[in-house]
Amino acid sequence: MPVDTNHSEQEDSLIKKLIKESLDDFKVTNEKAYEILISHVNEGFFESRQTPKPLRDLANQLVGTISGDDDFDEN
Amino acid sequence: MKIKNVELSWFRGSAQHAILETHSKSVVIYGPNASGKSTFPDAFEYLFKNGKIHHLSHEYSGRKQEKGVRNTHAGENNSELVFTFEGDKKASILINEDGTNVFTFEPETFKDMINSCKANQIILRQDEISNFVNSNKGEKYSALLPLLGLSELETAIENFSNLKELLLEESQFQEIEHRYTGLMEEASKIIPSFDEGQIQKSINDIGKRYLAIFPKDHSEVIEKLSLAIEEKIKKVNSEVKRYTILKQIDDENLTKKLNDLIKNQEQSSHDIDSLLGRKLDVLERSSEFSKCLGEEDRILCPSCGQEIERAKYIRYVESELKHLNKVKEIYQKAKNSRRSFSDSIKQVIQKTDDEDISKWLELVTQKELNASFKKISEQKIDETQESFTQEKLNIIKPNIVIINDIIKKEIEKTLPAVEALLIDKEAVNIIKKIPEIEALGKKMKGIKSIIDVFDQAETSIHEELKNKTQFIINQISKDIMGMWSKLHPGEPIEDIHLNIPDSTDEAIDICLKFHGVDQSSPRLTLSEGYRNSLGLCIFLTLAKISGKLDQPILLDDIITSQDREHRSFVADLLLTDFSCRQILLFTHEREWFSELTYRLPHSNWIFLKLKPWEKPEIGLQWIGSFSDFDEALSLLSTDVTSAGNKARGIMDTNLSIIADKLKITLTYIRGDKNDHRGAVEFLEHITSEVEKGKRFRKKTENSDSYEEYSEPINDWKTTISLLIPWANRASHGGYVTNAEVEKLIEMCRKSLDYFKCSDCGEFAWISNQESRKRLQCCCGKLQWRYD
Repeated sequence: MPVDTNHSEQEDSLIKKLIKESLDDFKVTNEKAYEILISHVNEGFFESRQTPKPLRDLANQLVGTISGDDDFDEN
Repeated sequence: MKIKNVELSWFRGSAQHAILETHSKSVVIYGPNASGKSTFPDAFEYLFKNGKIHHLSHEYSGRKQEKGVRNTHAGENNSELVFTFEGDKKASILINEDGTNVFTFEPETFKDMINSCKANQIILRQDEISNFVNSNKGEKYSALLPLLGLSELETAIENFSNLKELLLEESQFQEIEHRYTGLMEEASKIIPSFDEGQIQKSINDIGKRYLAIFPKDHSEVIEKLSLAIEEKIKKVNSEVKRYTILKQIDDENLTKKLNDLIKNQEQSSHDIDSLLGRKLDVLERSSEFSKCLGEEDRILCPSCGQEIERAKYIRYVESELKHLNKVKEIYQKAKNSRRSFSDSIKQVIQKTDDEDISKWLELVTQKELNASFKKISEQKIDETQESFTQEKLNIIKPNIVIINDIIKKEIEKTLPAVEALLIDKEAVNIIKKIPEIEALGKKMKGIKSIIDVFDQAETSIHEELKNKTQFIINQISKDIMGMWSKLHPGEPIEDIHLNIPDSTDEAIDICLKFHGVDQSSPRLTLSEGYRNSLGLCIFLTLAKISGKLDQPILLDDIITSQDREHRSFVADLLLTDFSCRQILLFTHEREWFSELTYRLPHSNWIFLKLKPWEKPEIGLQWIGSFSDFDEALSLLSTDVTSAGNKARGIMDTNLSIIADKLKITLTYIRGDKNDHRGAVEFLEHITSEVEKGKRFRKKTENSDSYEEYSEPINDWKTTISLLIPWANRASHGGYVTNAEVEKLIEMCRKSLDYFKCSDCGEFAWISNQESRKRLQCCCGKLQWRYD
């Protein structure tokens, strides 16, 4: 799914700007997580109250971006 | 976004069809208690809250509030709500029997506008005011936050907080951390640090001991090393077992026990021989002696025959006894030594029966040791035997020495090899686990970095929320105080402001100065009426500054606890501060409704009345004309005295309002009587003022000049003359005819109509209410001078 990370800052609400600023560190350290979170921010995910299901889905997507699983096979 | 009309079917109190036509004007709707007027605020809340009504959020209303939102007699009919706004924008809702609903918008984009409306900024109900003011500071914060437009920030914080917890749960962070810590603890004992050089050095060191050739590939080295150590461990397993048994044999300390035995046995043997000799001698002589022993101080020794002191003899006997006991002790010791030695021998012989040991002993290299064990075994050493013969000892002793020496040497030889092997095994295991440790560490770092970012986002949003809340509440505090001053002019309650307490930033207090003393809550000193008034000020302030001035405001029974004077100020406030907004005001207070009909300009406001609600199948019913006199006339055929009484009531209420508006000065009467002045008294004073001249003026036809408006005087006097006999009679149950009451109603209506402009339809006091000299209707045709 294409991710809209080029959302214009001018269109952003204050809350979106705040969250995006906080995510800046991710641009380099975890690009995949950055993209996932930015697309959620652009959709206004964080401004509306979320039930556990979509939050859990997002948590799982983020877990998938963390390296470690790929490098080590517990078996 | 002005409302043009609302059509309801089978929703709450409405039956087949109920329509509220506003024509985009503000509306005052009067309805007695339970007439169903709150059906309209409920309908708007249902629209703005996407199918939910707050006061119906309870266990009895059903999952989709279907038991509350639908008329109880709707049957199979669907409930329907249709809202038409200016510009012919429409929002329709169909509610099915099971409470499921379908929202339709025309145009579709109108949905966004409706969704942007916050019900809490649009609809205010009486119970909400008192609930808010009486709530605690945390609840006030929660209630105000959405109204301050900051709830999105709070929601984002909550989402991040929940997401953090779920991320930790889904990533199994706790389990990973636990395993990582365990492995690290284990590893740190073997490998001082995890840098590549150190690991390589450890591998090389261990490799040298087990591998002849080092493969090039790192993982192949680990694999080979691991196999080599495993192989060795298999071999070593029997060695370890043997080592353990030999160690146990060594721990039996056979040499020492044998030496103790020999020493104790020698001593015991020597003493017992001597004792036996002595004992015989003593026994013989004592026997002789006993025959001749007299009372003398000196006696003859039975042993040597010489004269000795009696006491000395006794001491001698005692000494012998002591010696005998000592021997007894030595004898016991020797016995114990024998037991201990024979026990140990028994244990050792038993251990040599172990398969691994016996096989090992069979080896040529262990011939000497094996022979020694056999010789010892052949001696049949038993703890019960009285003593070991010298001959036996001569066999045992050299063999024990042999056993001791060989075993000690064997242990020394085995110990470092086994220990080193075990350490190497552990080291290789840890080296094998390094990729896992690194992966776990990497994963932990990855999770922590996301959590850190969430923390950062949460903190910055929280900081923003705090600053914004502070900024907004500082601003609105001024407006609240401004509104309060309008509702309570000249009263000693000042400096009303919202405050975030120092102790927490998720709370809001309402602070004020009461007669100069600071109060941290209105609940400390303000009456219920004043507290509600304060709540109204806060709501109206928030509604006013919401920035969406085109949104309507619905006020449902908001002045219940206000007295007449303060209600009047509420009307002033609506006129001065909300003239641009469409207001839908619902009240069950007939007197206030009447006042509003005289106070609010009919060009911007319409006034509607609901009939008392009869039954679900009929639902809401409007009274056709707003005029109370029509209602009075409708009573004529059935209850003539009630009709007359009603006409009088209308005049009492309305003339008191008119006199107040026209600033008619009345003489002061003591106590409550001021509040019980009747229509006759008001009309007499108004007539008298008009008769004085220059008070009531009307613009002349085709000219801008004014002339005295004395035409009403005669009709007012006639009305007074009818009110005194007929209205009084009707009020006190006396006899009045239909014709009399009909005439009374007609004159009363006519008398009041004189105050309304025939051109613009507004009352003579609607404009220039702030003027210090005169009031006038909207077009200025009708004027009342009071200077």
